Amino acid sequence: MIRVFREAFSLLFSGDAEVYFLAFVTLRFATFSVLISAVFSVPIGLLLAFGAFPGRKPITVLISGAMAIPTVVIGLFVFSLFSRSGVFKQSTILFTPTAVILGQALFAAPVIVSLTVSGLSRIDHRFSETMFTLSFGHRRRYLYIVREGTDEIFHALLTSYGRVVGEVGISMMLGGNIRWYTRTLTTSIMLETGKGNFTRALALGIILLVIAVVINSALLLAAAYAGQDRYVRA
Amino acid sequence: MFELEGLKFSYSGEPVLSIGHFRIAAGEIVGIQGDNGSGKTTLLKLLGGLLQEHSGRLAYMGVEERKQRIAMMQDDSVYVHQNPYLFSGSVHRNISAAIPPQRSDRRKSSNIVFESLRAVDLGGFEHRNVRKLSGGEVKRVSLARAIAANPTVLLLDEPTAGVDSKTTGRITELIRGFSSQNRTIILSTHEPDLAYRVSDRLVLLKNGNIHSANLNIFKGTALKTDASFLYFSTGGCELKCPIRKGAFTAAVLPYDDVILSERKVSTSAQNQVIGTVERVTPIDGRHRVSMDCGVKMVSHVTGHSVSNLNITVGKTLYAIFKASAVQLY
Repeated sequence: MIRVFREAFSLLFSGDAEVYFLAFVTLRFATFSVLISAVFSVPIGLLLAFGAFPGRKPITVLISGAMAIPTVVIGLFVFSLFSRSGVFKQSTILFTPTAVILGQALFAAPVIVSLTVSGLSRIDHRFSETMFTLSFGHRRRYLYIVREGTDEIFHALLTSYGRVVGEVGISMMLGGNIRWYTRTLTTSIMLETGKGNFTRALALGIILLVIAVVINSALLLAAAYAGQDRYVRA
Repeated sequence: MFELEGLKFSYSGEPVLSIGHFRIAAGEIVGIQGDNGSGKTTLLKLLGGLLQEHSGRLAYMGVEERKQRIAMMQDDSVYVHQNPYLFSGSVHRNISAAIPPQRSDRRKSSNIVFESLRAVDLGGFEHRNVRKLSGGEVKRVSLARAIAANPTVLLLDEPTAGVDSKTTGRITELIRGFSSQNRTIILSTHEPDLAYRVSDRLVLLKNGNIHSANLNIFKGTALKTDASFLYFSTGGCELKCPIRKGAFTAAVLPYDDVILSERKVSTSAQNQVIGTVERVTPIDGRHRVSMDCGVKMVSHVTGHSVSNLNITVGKTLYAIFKASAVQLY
């Protein structure tokens, strides 16, 4: 085990261009997919948490359930859309970073929506009542929800980021594990394991773990620092 | 302004309110007293449109249709929680949040914030972070926010609960100041001082139903004291009260302690005020006689007394009560 760790750290600090590229691609895909997903998932989460329309609860339950969809199923779904027999057969995005990011954005969506809803639902009920009694219009209402619920939304994004960084099914099916192009740390681990290069696979796994933990911790610390004066408990 | 008839409200099937009849006139200040869990908060929230009645009739400004009525209540009223919620950020941000967008060009908005804070004695607090405020300051900021919203109806849930006596005094003054602008104020409170000093009318919430507190509440000032009495001036009357020290602004007299007579009588009761009968209402086996004595004076008498004295509207009578029956606040 010590040998594995030693190799992992020597890989990380050896200047191995491919390892850096794998890490960079993994983070790039995850960052873009979570940001793209956030554009539509966060507003959906806000609507489900604070909106009043028929079917709100069943939709929320359905989306929460969608968190359990395996990544390969999402990969398969997107693949079927863009394959030669799919709806978008003219498109040539399969086995490109775009396809991976699209798939990962779909994968992140239910996580962001569901965690945004559950996080915002925990905000003090007096918050909603205060907005009501001060006659907030829709625009102002959602502006204040975003502001008061920044921590909850941030946690939803961070959790989805962690899950996207660690997924392998979508990257493999939609990216094709092409070296220096769509290969990520997770698909590389699969490949190295398949080749019997277990030590390198474990080393890459440790690198992935370190990256995920460092990024999550750094973002959480930054959020805690930025938000330390945000809450008022009367 | 508000009219409630046969109104029922329950939480998860557990009945909380069951109000027979309750009316609140525009410009009135109504105090609601009741034990914990008696439904005071629920009632205030119903009047602010934050909750919806389950059955019965609730009319606001004559409008009963639920959607339209709630929209009107939302526009006209501000409800202030017992433990107010302040939005994260500065005091300024919280108060400017209450200013309707059409009134909020930046300079006007800043002026409103400044004036509202000055009204609650928190001038200079604009840029304070709300997290750093004390409990009393949070209450006052929430009141400033309510004032900035310029509501015609102010709903206050225990506005002085958990604050020191100095802040209680400040909040009492503030509510009285606000009421002088012909606003309707409905407040729930446990504290008799606040209830009597501020309210025009006090009601009790018991077992989910509204009951009259059966108290005359006279607003006024203590004029002078002599060797025997303190003289409290209210409307056109001067009431003799027991000598006490303090800055009193309200005198409270139970309906049951007022005797009616056709002429002045020689008695130990020191107050004998002449007035005209305005209304005689039978209530629970007795009669409530409302008189105009320069101030409105109410007495409870039996049916026997009503027929004996031939009490009818327009009749002139003396309201007689002991100085010791008057409580000063």
